[in-house]
Amino acid sequence: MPFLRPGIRKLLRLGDGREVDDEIALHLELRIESLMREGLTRDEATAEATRLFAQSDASLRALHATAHARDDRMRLHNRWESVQQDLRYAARRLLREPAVTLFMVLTLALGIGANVTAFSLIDRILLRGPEYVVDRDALSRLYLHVEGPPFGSQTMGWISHPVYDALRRDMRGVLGLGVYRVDDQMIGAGAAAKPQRIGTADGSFFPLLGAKSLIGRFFVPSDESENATIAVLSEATWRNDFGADPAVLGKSYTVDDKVYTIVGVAPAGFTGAALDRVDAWKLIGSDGKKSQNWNVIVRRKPGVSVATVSIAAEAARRLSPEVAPKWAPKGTLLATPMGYDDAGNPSLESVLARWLGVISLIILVITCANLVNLQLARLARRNQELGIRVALGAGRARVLRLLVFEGVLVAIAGGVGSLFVARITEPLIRSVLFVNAGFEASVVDGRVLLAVGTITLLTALVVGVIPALRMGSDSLTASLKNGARVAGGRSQMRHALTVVQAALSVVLLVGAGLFLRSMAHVRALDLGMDAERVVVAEARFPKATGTFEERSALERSRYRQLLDAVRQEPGVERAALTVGLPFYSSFGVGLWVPGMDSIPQLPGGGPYITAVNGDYFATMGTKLQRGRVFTDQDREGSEPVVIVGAAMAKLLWPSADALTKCITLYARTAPCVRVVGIVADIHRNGLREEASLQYYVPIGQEKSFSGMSIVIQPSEQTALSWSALKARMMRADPGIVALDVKVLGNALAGELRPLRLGMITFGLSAVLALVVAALGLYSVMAYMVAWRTHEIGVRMALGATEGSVARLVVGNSAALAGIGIVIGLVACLLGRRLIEAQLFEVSGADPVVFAGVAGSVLLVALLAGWLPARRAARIRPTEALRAE
Amino acid sequence: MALPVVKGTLDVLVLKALSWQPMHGFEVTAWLEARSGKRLALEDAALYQALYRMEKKGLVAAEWGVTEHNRRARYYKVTRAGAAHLHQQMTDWLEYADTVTAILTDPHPAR
Repeated sequence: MPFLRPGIRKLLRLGDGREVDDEIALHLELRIESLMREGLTRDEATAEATRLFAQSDASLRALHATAHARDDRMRLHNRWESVQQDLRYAARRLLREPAVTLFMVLTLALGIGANVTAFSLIDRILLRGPEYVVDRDALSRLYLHVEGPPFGSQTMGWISHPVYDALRRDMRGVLGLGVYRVDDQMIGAGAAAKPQRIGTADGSFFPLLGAKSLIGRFFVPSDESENATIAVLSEATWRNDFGADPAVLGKSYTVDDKVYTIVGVAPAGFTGAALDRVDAWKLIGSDGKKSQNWNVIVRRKPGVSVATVSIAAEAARRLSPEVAPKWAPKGTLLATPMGYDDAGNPSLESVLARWLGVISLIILVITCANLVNLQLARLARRNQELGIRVALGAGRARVLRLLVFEGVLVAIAGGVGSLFVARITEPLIRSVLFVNAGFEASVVDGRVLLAVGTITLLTALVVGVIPALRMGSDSLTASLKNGARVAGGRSQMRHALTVVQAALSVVLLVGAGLFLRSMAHVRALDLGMDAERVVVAEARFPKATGTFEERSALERSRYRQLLDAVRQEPGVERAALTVGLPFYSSFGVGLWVPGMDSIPQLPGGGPYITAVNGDYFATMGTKLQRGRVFTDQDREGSEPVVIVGAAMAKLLWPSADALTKCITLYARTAPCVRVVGIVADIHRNGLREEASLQYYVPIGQEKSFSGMSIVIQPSEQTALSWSALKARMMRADPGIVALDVKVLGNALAGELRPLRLGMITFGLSAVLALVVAALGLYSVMAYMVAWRTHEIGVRMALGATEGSVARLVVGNSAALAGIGIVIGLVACLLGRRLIEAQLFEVSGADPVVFAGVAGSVLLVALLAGWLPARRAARIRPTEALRAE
Repeated sequence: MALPVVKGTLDVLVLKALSWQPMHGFEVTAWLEARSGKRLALEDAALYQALYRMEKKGLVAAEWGVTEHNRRARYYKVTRAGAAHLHQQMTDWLEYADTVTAILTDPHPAR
């Protein structure tokens, strides 16, 4: 319309196919026609129509702008409508097969839920660390590294207070330092006393973390100079033991018979610098300032690296050589980031969190693989329907969008479901795997939601897009010509997915197998005693006065009286006294052997001295190999005698009878002590231990060390009641301040935990993975048999036997699994470092485990192929060919 | 002599037109011209502006249709909200007009 005014022409050029154009054009046409009916010529009518449409350019421009906005709005609306349409269609399709849809959603909810759980734990343990700590990345923990006998090469997180003082004085590169430690201490008095996790900290510790208290205050440096005996409760203790009393400040709290004044309550979930539960905090006292065992935490200045802080710490320590502990004169200080255990290794929690991350990712991949597999199978069935849609002009993109939407809808439903799954599994996993964890539940927060969203989106892409892309338009149109059977040719992808599933199952199974083997090794381990059965009872008395010898004598007499009482208790088979308890305390005194310049060393250290009475070995289940055990006549004042461990006897007198020998104790000039017996060696520190030098003296003949325990062998017939035992001990000695009863073997829990946890996590996930992979394998095989019915029919017509057809199917299944097994085992070889440190005397490439896993996965593959194979064997050529 | 359309009344007029039946833009124009005997000075552009504006407000809804001569045209119809709006505006307008008329035609203005 060249005669139109430019403004109108512009209006008509709103864009390609804009609807306003058509509307205005029609208006003008109708106006011109109506004017021409009134007698105007076309040119006149056109001019008049234009005039009537708009008198000014301004009104045209205004219309132009409104029209633009309207058009954009309409387009968006239309697009949204077509999306809605497709979503509705996708939802209808999904609802038409409710069982399959429910299966997919539940599978995804579990798969994503596992990842959400793992993420929330990883987030807390690895990413965010303990709550309420300001800028945790700037914190470092100091360690003492020692080389040489009697420790070998060892890193330990314990630093003496004098060293800490030296560091506080001279260390550079840090904004501040603080010390703390957490151990079990008795709260309350008498038989009602209970062990609690008590943190001890100095006045600098809380300001260093930057944490704020819930009520009252934390400790400050000036508290130390006032020698205050003050405590801060955890929120849980405040709630459970003080009924959340708002007036708790100023009340007293008794720790190990010492009364502290409560000055504050920590916020809920506050766990100090680590993640383990702490029930209350007390301020360091003058005793503590002499102690060797402190965790030292520093806050680095901005820009100062961990390595630099290591150097700065060692430099400061060397300025005060007098503070080096006598037992480790050559130790050097070094720093690590937070989150390492007392031996300078990554903490079990962080290792576990990493495992969970890997395992949950594997589960998600297996889940996705299974769903993609399922979708591909469903699509193959729908190929013809989709082909018709394309033929009807739906456009390939539109059809693909439909498929993607189905995946997205399933993924979103799964994502929402995963939140419910995570709400259940997260506390469950936390209580089973992270027993000591004091951190609060990571409730569904922004970060977790973000993680869920991301994982769901990725899942949606995988489950929705991959199957859609496999449905190329060529296959869609081809399917119209040839029928659905063509789509079966596209099963390489399904085969690949099955291989992936098998490989990942192998990885998890190998992990489970390695931990099982470790556990078996632990079970077979001879500790030299029956630690799992032995019960330990310890009493604490009011602080006595007098010389060390006088105090030891008093302790001995009180304990002998207690022992008599304990022996009366039904359920006690036998009981004995000991100074020095395996896994808890070991002592060393001066020891010389006639005819030797120095004592040879064993890798496990020693010589360790233990003072025991006659029943000790029988009570502990430690075997006497030769000679005799102590009797009641072996005591203070009687002839000094000694019993040595087997390794010590062999090392000191390799070619002579130890029972004819003697050793000198406490002082070189003391009379020689006769060896009267040889007993089996026991583990003194834990499961992982090498041979050490051990010997025993009778109770009463020990000098310069003390700290008695009663060891009890419970009766096999009568159950031992701990509360009755405690009550009887209290009656026997009403002066007891606190009582502690425990199973000796519980000290090994820390070492057994990684194995137990490894078994649980890998075992459960491996079983799950294997079941899912078997289902995947079965469905691929069943599907293969279904679409090759025709071909199998031809083969059978040509003379193939039922057996050969079955073998073909089973062989296919085994071949897929076989590839997966090889890939999985290679992955295990490459990734074995991830768990090797947690295993017990098992290599990460243990051939027994590898062979066992390969065999069992192959077996499962054969089973998964068996049913489809039988179906294939039953195919009758006549029927198969007639079906065409 | 064409009367200028008082500001704000165009919407009511268009709604009134559409309240009879769904119409396309030119039909609305033609309807208004026929009713007013061409006495209203109504710019076509302003009419379309009014239509788009009311569509955005949800007073009218548009849908493509076919005219009796088989031409593709966009038909507008009054929505439920539009009907309520029209009713309210009509009441207000008539009351206003009555009041103004009463004042202007009072035979005893000095009473």
